[in-house]
Amino acid sequence: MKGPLLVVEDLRCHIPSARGTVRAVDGVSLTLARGQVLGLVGESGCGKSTLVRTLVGAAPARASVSGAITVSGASLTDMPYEARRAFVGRHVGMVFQDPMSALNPVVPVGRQIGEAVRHHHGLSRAAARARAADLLEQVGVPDPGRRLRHYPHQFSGGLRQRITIAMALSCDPELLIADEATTALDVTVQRQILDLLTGLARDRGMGLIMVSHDLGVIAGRADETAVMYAGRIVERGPTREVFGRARHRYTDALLGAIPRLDAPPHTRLRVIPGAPPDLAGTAPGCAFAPRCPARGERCESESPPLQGESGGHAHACFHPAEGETT
Amino acid sequence: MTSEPPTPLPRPEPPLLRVENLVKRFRVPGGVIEAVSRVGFTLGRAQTLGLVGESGCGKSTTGRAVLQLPPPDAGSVRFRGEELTALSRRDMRRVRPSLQIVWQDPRSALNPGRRVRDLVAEGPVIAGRPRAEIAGRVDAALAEVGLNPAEVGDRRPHEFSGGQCQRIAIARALVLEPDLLVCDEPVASLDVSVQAQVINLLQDVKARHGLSLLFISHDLGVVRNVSDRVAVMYLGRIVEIGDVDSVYGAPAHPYTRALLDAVPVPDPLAPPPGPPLKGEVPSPLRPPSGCRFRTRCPLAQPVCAEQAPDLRPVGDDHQVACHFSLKESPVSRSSAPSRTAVQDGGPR
Amino acid sequence: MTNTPTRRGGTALWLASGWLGLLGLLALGVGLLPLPAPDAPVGGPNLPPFASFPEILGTDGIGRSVLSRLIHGARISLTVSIGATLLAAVLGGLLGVLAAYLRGFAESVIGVVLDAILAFPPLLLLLALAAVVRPGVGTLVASLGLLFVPPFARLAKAAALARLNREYVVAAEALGAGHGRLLFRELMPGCVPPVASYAVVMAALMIMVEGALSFLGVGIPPPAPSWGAMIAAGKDFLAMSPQLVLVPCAAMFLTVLSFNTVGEHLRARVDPGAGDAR
Repeated sequence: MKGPLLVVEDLRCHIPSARGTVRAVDGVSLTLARGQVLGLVGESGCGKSTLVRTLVGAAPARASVSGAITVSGASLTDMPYEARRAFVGRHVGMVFQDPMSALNPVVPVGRQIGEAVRHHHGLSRAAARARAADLLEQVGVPDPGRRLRHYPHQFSGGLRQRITIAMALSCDPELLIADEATTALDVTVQRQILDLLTGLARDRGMGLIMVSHDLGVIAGRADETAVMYAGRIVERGPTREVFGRARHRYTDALLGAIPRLDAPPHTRLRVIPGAPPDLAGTAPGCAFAPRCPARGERCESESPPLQGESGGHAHACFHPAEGETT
Repeated sequence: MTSEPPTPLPRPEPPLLRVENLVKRFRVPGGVIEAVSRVGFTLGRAQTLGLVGESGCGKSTTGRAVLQLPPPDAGSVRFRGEELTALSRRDMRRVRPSLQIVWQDPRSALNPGRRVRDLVAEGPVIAGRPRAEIAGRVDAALAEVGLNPAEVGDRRPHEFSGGQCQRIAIARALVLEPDLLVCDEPVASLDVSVQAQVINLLQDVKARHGLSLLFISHDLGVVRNVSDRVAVMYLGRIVEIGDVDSVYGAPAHPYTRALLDAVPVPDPLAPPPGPPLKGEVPSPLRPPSGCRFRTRCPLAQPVCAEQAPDLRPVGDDHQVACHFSLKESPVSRSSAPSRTAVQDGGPR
Repeated sequence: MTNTPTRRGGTALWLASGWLGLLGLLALGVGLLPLPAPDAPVGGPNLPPFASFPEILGTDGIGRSVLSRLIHGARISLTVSIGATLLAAVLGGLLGVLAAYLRGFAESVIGVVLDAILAFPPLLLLLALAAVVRPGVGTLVASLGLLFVPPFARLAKAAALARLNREYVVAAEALGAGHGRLLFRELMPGCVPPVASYAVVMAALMIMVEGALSFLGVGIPPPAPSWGAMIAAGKDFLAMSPQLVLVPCAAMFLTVLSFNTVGEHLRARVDPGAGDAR
């Protein structure tokens, strides 16, 4: 099959709440090719998790969703609910932040992985078991044959996350989504899991979406990076471009706010004043304007569109930074 | 050591805090774990010591044991020359205002039922400061952390964002005019954009009041930014301690090296880091014999299983606990008197 | 957080509160009401209800006013129920919070005491007490109150442990707070709402327990008019004058239901916002 693996067009997910409609995802467009890694980065509450949940058809109840999602040329948005669920189950794998909530604590992990395999491939019990052991081996669980019988609580945090990755791989997905998959882990283990995820994506030719609040996690691993703020993608492009020549004022400020290992001690951090906006508000204009050092009159009345530049680098800012971040 | 110095040097002032052989054990379902195992360090006035390590390494427990919350099982904590572990509960309460703490989860550390003004006033009220004086001090403390006292004074913690709660918590400590502020993962629960505000605030406050900070964090970038000296902990022990530039610039312990390599750097052009560490931190219930890091160490030899390495100097202010340090001890140069009055760290 | 009573309670909550309020007023003001004495005959025995004025509820087997006895009975039943609940809640609450705060040896001692109370057959204890001490409101309040200490202690301990895990108690200690302040200013206030809402539900149970004990003859001794005693006396005339049983039963039913409704509502308000509870 040719063409991109994933195409998202003008996706919106508006969630009604007591304080008004929360525009958690507000007009997001994306494409992802096979074998590519897309980093989706943003602070808590920017809508990145809602975005990926909406992608797999798990938007919050009562949310109104619009826009088009196409996976491998099949339009998810046109499918009836059951067909869509089955399609997503076969083609998309997901890994979450907390492996304990994704695993059943009272069922041995071998059975849990095997069940998923049987469901998708209709294998016999013994074959499913062999496949589960094979999957555990692929994700680097030592001694997989014996470990199949163990329960989730008998594994360390890093191994648990490997097990959920094995479950996500059980259907041989074309697209793998890792939603803050390493946030709860220590840095040395985080590095192992990130290596595993990107290695799997490369070897299997999967598309990988890495969702994280940590710019560092994205920088070294993603081919493309999309920065989200207040439900929109405010900057998108090849990772080197986005980090090396940030154009949107938010990306630029965020990069300056991170304490870096290569900066001398007591380097004054650049501060972004204020706090991320409440998505229930419906103020016109750029959502970042109240915190932006370069805002003009236009920013407060008009919402900047995502404009392309050469090399697929796009930003949604009327007064972009010149690039060359510190 | 003082072998006829050219000019009579003034006797160096004793450090604000000297911790020696600190031990803290916990009883857990499977037995007893030694969460902090013979930890020692010193912290000078107006200095920041970063305490860094992965979860379960004992860094937070160390911070709390210094504050006697709860007191350690063994070891010595000397603060302004006073042995805290020997103080009665009553005497400890007298010292408490000088040793304050900022917690990881600011919401959890603020009683949800109280108003901001009362929360900040709590310390001075307990300390028995005169009522008339307290109101002014509370307002000053709130203003110093960037909050408008008139605006926030009568509100309750749940009305504030995480970053604002952390400011309230800092005001709560500042109002007591402490000498030492233990910061226990103060920015771990905050977003990057808000984290920078709080870090800068802590730096300002420290400079203005000449505070000493014991800054506990798992984030190596944050620790490098705020610290003068840094101690790296692994499974209850300090494996490396020294001034920030030495430790980050030329790490002597293989664990420190691996930790630095594992930090995700927000730069796609960063050079590829060294090989990753294998496995995960072993259970503190059954720590490995000898050097606790040996099960994951790329340099481990038989001697590492037999003998626990002690901290030994590898630089002016740089000590490491490793048999096969990545940086060798400057033995020949150590006979010269040290140029600066940097206090050494750690137990002898 | 909610400034207005939640709509979930609705009419049932208002009716329940209304009934309890009315009962409370009657019980408090019983001396001011133009009622005949509850223990003296006012007319012939077993007068049917609505047959004469002012005895609209009729008279019992020995000619005493049912209306007067019902209202006087409300006073006794409510006194026993509320008194015993208060005693149990305060004692249990204190013990529970202390056990959670002190841990170690004190926690074990408190645990053993509570287990001992739980292990005691309650009816046997009350029968034994009735044999030794002169039965009455005071005795009943004390014995019921003690018997119901354990569940309150458990609840308070759980609530206190949950708060001890939040850092604000340790934070107050870091500010220099002593035991007293930690216990009474930091720990206790947060434990009051769950204990109080549970107490309302327990008050309903106490009404029934008091009724059952009086029915068995080990509660309030006659001729004092508690609801349980009225039911016990009325059962002899069940075929002839069922209202002698039905009227106090109905009063008891409505009161228990009302306590439960109010208690459930309070619990629902305390539980979800446990963090915001004052």
